[in-house]
Amino acid sequence: MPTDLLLLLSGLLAGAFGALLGLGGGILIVPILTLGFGVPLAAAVGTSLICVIATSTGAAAINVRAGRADVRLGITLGAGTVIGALTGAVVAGFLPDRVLAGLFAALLAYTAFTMLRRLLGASAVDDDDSPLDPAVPDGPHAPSYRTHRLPLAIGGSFLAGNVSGLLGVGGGVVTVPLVHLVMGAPMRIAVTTSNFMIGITAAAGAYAYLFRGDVDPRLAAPVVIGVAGGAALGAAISARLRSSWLTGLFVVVVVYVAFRMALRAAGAS
Amino acid sequence: MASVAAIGIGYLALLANGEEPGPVPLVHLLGEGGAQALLGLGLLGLTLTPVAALAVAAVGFRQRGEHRLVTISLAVIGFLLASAVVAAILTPAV
Repeated sequence: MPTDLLLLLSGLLAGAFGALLGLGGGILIVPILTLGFGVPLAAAVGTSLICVIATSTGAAAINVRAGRADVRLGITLGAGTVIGALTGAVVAGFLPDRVLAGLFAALLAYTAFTMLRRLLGASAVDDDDSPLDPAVPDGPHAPSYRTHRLPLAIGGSFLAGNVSGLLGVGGGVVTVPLVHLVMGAPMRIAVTTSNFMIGITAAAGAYAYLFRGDVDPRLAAPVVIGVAGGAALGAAISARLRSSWLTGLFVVVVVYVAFRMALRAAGAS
Repeated sequence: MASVAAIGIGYLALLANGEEPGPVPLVHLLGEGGAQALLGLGLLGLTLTPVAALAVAAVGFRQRGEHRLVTISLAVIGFLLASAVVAAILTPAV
């Protein structure tokens, strides 16, 4: 029972942190389960994908209803991410735990780098049209834009799906830059469209883990419930918190976790 | 929301019964009945939510006459359901 409570609280924390920082939460759930609870990486990845679906669907429904997400683009790229996620999930079944830990450490390091860049203001242009900026008009009256390089983006979305299916994250770390930098969509559209795609992508990967028997439902249930509650809590308090110190704290945590994951990959943990 | 509620109720029933299913394929979980099946249904329902969202989007595209997007939406739904079916077929026997 104490373990169940700790799992619930961990999920709550990951969900709240994810919602406050605009992440799916998978980047935190996998290390919490593997490093904190000794869960095998495949089980942690499968559980994380289910949590990612729980967090993304609620936010996606709000964004789609408000006209903030580009559903057309999301569905078109979703074809690539779904196939990529399924491939990633199947491949993950054949990879040793240490290889997956090494890949996850690299993903964490990249995430910490991008968050640090944002914190230090290097992407000030991107922040100008942040989806959290209430001054930016949304909905049907939002300014129109044209996207480019669709074939390249579909190839990139396959890679995003691969990352998701392999490592149990939403894949937003790939899809947001893909839609914004490669296709030329505004940053806020990239973020909301990526959020719409994340649930679809995670579902494709989750089926493989669920049906293969990698997920322990007794362990997954409190985490999923905690994450769903934490995401709602994070969304409710996000307007009252300054994101800069949260981002700073997140970078420190992610760098530490990346180090622990790298140790695990090297067989030293 | 309903799926998370089903997961919650199934989980509490599992705790009350002292059941420890361990890592088990979803198909076997659904076949167990009782608390385990309810938990399994919740997990399945949650993973099917994006499929439902895509279906709603496809209906919207059809009403607006955007046939190319209807085809893409149905293709993505097909990929998702096919991945679930293939995964279920490849489920190891316990």
